[in-house]
Amino acid sequence: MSTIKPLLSVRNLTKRFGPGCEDCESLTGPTQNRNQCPTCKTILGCGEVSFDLYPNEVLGIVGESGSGKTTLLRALHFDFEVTSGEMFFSYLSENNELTDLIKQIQDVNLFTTTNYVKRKVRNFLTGIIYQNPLMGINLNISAGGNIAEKMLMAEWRNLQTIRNRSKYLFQKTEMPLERIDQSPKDFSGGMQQRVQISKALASNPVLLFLDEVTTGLDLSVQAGVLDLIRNIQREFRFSMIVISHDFGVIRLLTERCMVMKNGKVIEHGLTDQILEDPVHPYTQLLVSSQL
Amino acid sequence: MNNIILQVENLEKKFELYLPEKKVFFAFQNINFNLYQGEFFSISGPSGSGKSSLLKCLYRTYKTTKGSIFYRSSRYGIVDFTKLQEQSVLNIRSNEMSYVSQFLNVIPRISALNLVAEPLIRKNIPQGIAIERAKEMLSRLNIPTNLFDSSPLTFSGGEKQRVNIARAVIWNPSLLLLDEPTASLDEKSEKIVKKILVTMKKSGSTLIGIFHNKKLINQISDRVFLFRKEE
Repeated sequence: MSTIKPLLSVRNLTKRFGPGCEDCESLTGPTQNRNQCPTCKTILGCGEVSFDLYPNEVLGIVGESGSGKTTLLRALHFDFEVTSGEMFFSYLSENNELTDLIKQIQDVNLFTTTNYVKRKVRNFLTGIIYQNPLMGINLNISAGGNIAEKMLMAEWRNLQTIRNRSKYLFQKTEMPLERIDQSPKDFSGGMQQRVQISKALASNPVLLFLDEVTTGLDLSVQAGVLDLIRNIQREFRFSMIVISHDFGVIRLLTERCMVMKNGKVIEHGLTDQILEDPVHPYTQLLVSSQL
Repeated sequence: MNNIILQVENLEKKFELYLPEKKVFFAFQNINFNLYQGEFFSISGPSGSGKSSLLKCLYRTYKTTKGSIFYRSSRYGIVDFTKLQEQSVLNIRSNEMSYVSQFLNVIPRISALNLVAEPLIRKNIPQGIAIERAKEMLSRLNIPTNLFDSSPLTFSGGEKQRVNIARAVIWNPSLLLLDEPTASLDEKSEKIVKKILVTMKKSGSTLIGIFHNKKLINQISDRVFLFRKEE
């Protein structure tokens, strides 16, 4: 029996916003139907989340607003300290420049490691695409500059290489090359989102986080952006975690997904199974609420 | 026996629906059968008797509520498919087991050609070869060449169904699940599909299918499993 090692393993990830007390555990979550502890007013962002993500795999996370999807993703991107939990990254690369980093993070719980290592993992191995392009890109510098920034953070040093890669990604994301030196301030929402995608992909990440990337775009642009992401993932074969409240997006991009409610994972499975045979009452409600 | 590829034991599918209020019903209970390598196994029975649900359980689109499905995988050995890790199920789905749904269910905006080539590309066959083979398969199924670049969602019922079949058989899966693949086909297309299925069987694939056409069942199946309606 052959088993592939997961790229990312997350165990019992919990994030609480607030002091926390002994009642938190029992008074929050889907069974209580709330995520604020009535005793100490602490908010449960996400609780006891565990999963494995494999190379070249796309995992979906669905749930309503406030279910903890984004908190989970941000925690994985080290945007804040977690309350408890473990995260392991195991990756084999032919890229010699990454050998040291990969050795350094082997069998190490990344949540408890130094900020230096976290930053390296974030810059070298991952990329993130936020719902709001303004969170991912800087409007005061050019589109090309934004894309270059990610490469600089991953310690790329050759300006020509950086420039060429920015151009390549601009074309890959179906953007007009003559606008590469303009500020994304003057771009449409769909174009800004494409710049963000280029930026996230710039340093060849092995893991990409997508946070509601198409919410707020009109339908035809949504379709364009999703097709683009889907094609790029197939071509470059990185792993993705896709967050959405829209089962259409989940169906389009993922083969496996988890359903969250009040900070907890209430159901997980193959995407076609979740859509056709949802077991948890809340998942049934979500699936039946599709337009 | 050595040549059993699928062993279904005491299988039950129970649905618990919570909307608008809690309701429980059984699709089927107590299903037992063995499937031998290389045979054509038909499932027959009245509408609503649970045939499609059974097929969906075999493909893991439905979660089984009781019983086991022992499947002999060339990659993982004998596994209980109902409890197998999701990652392995996906692997088996793209390398060993294929499923033709009753209705074509694909992502919009992707051409028929690319949809049919996709399972080959997933198996690391070079894009050019995959596209060539997809063209061949679509032509064999009488899909007009000028439709190749359009999304099958714009096709007629029969054409949709043929694209659906093309997608499932093009990569020669060792186990093929068919849910009324010929329901919306005319006689000529049915004949072509029949021929393709018979060829697959000859090359060693195992097929399990739901058909309503009695004549077709008699012509192609080795064994028929009769479903009764749950009372």
